[in-house]
Amino acid sequence: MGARRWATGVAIVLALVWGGAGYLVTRPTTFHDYRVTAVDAARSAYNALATARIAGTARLDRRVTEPYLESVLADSREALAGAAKRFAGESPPDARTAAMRDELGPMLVRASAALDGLENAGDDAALRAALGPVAEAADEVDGFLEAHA
Amino acid sequence: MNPKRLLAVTLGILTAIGGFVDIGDIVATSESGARFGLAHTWVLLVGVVGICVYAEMAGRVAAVSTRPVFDLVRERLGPRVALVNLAGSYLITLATLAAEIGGVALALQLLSGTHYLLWMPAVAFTLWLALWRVRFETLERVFGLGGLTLVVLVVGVFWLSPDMPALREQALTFAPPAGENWPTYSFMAIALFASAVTPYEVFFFSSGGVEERWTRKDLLVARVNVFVGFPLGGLLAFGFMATSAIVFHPVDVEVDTLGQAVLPAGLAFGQVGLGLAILGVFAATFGAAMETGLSAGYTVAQYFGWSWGKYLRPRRAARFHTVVLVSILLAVAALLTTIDPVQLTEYMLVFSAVVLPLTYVPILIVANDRGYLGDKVNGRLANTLGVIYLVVVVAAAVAALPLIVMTGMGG
Repeated sequence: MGARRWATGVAIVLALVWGGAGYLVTRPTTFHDYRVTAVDAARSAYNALATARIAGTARLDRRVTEPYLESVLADSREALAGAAKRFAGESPPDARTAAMRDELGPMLVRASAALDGLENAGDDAALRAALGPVAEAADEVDGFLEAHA
Repeated sequence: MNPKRLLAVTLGILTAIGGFVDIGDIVATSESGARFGLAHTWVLLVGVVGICVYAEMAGRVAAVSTRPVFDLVRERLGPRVALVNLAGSYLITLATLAAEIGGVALALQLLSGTHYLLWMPAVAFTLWLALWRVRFETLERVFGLGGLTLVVLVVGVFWLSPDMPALREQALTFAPPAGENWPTYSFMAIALFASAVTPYEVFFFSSGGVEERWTRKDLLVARVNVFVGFPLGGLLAFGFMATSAIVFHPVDVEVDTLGQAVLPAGLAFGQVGLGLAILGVFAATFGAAMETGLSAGYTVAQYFGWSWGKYLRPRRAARFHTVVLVSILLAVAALLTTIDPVQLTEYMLVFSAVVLPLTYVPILIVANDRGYLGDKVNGRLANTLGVIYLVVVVAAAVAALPLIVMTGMGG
């Protein structure tokens, strides 16, 4: 009898956990959910761009090595790609969040292009030129964060 | 001072470097500095005192009984309780080992530009070879002292011309700064505290004492190891926290990679400073990989009563060396799933908080047992501090899981 009660109890707990997890996974996205995802993506993008900007400037001053800069930019690229993927995976539930998507989506594309420029800079002049768009993209994303975070 | 006596503290330095500046701690303390400024400095201080209290007990137990702590825990508390302890600490040690191997590979990536996954097999093989062939004292001296190059970040604090009054104010503020909340602040505090008192540190330290054949006569050496090594580890961790607070906190950039954590050294001292910081990270993470690899072997072998230790020829401690080898292989297998080593160790920091009482309660019990320690059992001060820290450890363990859920792992 004791064992049967235990088994019933465990089955009920498992069913509740399973049901709860199922609800959390499948429940419709709310404005709050979407805003959190967008802000997280913007924050990741800002971190990636600002770090790339500091490291790129340090490279111009010969304070860091080329392999180091390559590694930092690879990390920044990975972080930005992850953020863009998470953001693209969420559908806006209403007009306000659709506007948020239309605002942040192009910013992430510009951020990616700016990082491309920095990664492909072959000499100091190109590196210096590439830092401008990175700084602009970082400021743009920072503005988004100030408005929505 | 006699150089031999100076070198006698390398066990404490290596243990502390593994405890305070392994890959997870480096990124966690840097992240704390970037997000909270110096508002978690008190956690480092609390952690340093806590690990000193318990490492002193573990070192005393090893020196007086000439047996490591885990061996006595099993004998004193019985195989069942010790098995729970073994399971908890082995799993955490194994995951930390994986993270450290990844950390060494990440340091090599920063030096070479070659992706860390390509470095991993070479790192794992070198680690296994070192643990199999190289003398214990040689390993602790090379990597313990190599890790000291991280002092470049401590010096960098002054070189970066920070706003000292602002830093002082941050350090004296025991609350999250504007824009951060209490749950995240508390989550980070628990992660930093857990990193300072990671279970494998005391097991490694006491087993290392046995490897070095400490006796009652070496109690002073054991204490010097504790009271020099661990505060030094804490100071190096503070270097990461403070330089991130200076470079990243004002521009609101979060730190979550090793490359970001060492960047302030480059900004302060150029390529030489950056190179020293990366070298220090390499030594510290390789040292921590050695610690965790050996600790995995120590705990399993001591639980089952097998011959263990590097002071024995591998043939005489075959099962111990097999556990070390298998642990390294399991760690590499985990890393080859492409799991991020930094994230892995950050998870481990918080989960290790949950199992901390399993490590520290038995040590306190054994350190009060006259059957093992005779007149060298805990005095009033050691017991008072031990109990206070036990309360802190239990509070951290209880709070860890709810905070993980509330903050989404500190996000």
